[in-house]
Amino acid sequence: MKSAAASIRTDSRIGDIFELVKARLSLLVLTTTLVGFLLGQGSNPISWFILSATLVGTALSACGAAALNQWWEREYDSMMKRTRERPLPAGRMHAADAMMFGVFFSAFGVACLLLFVNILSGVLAALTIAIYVLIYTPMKRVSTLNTLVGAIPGALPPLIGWVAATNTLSLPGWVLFTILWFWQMPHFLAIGWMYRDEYASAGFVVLTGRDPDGGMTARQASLYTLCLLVVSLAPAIIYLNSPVYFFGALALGIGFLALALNFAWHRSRPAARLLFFGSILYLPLLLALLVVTRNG
Amino acid sequence: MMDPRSRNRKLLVALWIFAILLFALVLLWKIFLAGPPTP
Repeated sequence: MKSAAASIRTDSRIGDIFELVKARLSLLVLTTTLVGFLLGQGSNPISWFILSATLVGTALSACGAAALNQWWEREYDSMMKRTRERPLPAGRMHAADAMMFGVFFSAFGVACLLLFVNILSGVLAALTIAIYVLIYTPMKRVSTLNTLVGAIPGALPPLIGWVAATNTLSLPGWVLFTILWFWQMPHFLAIGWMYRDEYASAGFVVLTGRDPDGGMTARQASLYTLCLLVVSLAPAIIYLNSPVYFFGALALGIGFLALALNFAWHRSRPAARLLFFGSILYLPLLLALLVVTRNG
Repeated sequence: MMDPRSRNRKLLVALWIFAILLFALVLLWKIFLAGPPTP
């Protein structure tokens, strides 16, 4: 018998499309791109055309990449409870339709950035899609290093936003990239540990699958969260943000680190869940702080 | 009730059209309204 949530998804007319384009993830990509753009813009007047073209290009690219990822993983997704109700493994969508959609949207998104924003942002978007679809997706079945690689396309969008506004790959853009990269580690380690049995049964090679007691996962999550805390202070140090940001980021980072250490102490599913939800709360707060306290 | 695969194909085609219109809109904005390219 299907779960209530699955039934809702099945009956919803656009629910399948939302799942195919990973709507929440794509929204996060758009948000981090916007933050990168606003920080790059500084106190200069916003070019609404460049901003709109950046967001349209990034949105199309993100949706296309998500569809290609699901097209590639459709058989493996059918083996996991968490993913088997997605439209492709559940048989509610033709695989070829999803693949064509993914290719078309990815290409359109990159073209939009190349033509209307700048070459650098288009190249970065193409690189993001290539790493996500062609390297990370197959790597999930081969090496435990896949999380480290998968975090690269997840961290590139704020750099794309920065480059769209400044047309340079300068230090502040890389700082934003590094913050997003480190943030993903505790986030995905917590998910990976909670669902380690499902991942393992579907043939995905995840670090957490070889760590039933959670010791190694928790140590790594704590270490990455500590690194995140340190890196997250950098925007104030390089004068991208005001001193207010420094103390706000410090407080948020300490809170997030406390959740990672709590997971290390308890090594339980509720503690991993708490770390996961903490990561979801931490990021929008930090992004909002970055925007509100940016220096002109 | 419509086959979900056919329904989803129609929705995907609608999204394709939406994306093309969005692209065209940005192109027209660029041609008619946007100023010179930013440095």
